[in-house]
Amino acid sequence: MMKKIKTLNLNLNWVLFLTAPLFIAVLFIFRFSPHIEFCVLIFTALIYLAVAILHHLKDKTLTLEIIIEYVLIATLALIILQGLIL
Amino acid sequence: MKKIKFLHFFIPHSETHQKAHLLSWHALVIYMLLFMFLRVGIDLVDLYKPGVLGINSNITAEKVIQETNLERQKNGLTPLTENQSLAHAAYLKAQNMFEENYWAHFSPSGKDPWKFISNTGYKFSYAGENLARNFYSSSDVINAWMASASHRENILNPNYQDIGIAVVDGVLNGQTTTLVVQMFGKSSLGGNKISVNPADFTRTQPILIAGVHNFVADAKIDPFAVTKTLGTLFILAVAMLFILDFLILKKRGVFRVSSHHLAHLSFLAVAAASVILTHAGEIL
Repeated sequence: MMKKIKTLNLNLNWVLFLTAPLFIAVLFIFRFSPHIEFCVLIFTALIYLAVAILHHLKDKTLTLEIIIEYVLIATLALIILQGLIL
Repeated sequence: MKKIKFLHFFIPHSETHQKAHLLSWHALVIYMLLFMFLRVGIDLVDLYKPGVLGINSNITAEKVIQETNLERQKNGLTPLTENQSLAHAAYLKAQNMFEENYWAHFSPSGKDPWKFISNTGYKFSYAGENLARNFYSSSDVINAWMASASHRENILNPNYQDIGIAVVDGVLNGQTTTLVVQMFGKSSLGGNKISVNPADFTRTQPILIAGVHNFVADAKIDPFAVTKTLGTLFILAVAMLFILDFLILKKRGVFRVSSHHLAHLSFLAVAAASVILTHAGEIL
């Protein structure tokens, strides 16, 4: 049982790292459609937040400050991209 | 001592191992506010100083026609013939978009693309329209159209025989804009019905904008380039600070309960890619 939880933790840590190239490939395909790009980044941000919260829950290290940090980084990226969609 | 305090803006605190000040949530809020103010500032300049912001392009009708025909030839289709009536219809469409301040195939007053074609005397059995704005070059326009199924279908439609392009500068929604209107057609009568003076629709002719009445000059600031450059630099800077944080903690051999570096760096890589890959241009 313990072994299984460890494996799951490891997967969560690497989920975004391994899926990032996939998201970048999707962004490249839709590079002429800024609104689709924005939707892809929103989707990535949601996965990023979900994975982060799950990871810290399992680690028992989930604090308000940590959640705020993830939310702020996701929001910052979305605001920057939104500024480009004129 | 002062030097160490300054370093704490970039690296974790030497005793508490807290994150660098520039990575704190306070700093992240400041970055967000900066980009929000930038966007509001751009909108305010568009509103009160129309024409100052915008994109200066070097698109030519000849090059767009040349690249359109190149794409058709690659797909085993006959090249399209430049038609003065269609070019005039495209020019009238672009002029109307600036006058009525809209970005659509149909004008707010109900004019459709076919009306502009019919008004020039071109009788068509088939007709089509592609629109583009805010692109830097003719190749960018064609690449964007070819990447979109519906626009690609227009370019590679075997029913079309004629093409007319208008590249017109003006102020749209407060920003200096280059509109590219591409009209396709197959004449039901076989040829030009009216004679049009090309000097009437060259892009050097200034367009009067309803309610604004400014002559179109080159935009002084490109808001897209400014936002893109700043956005990319900020994302890269935050990513660099996270890498620095990770390396220093590893070197010090300390464990800190905090957010996960790998997750941040992966997300920032996707965010940077989205900003770098975004194009200023829009097609319709």
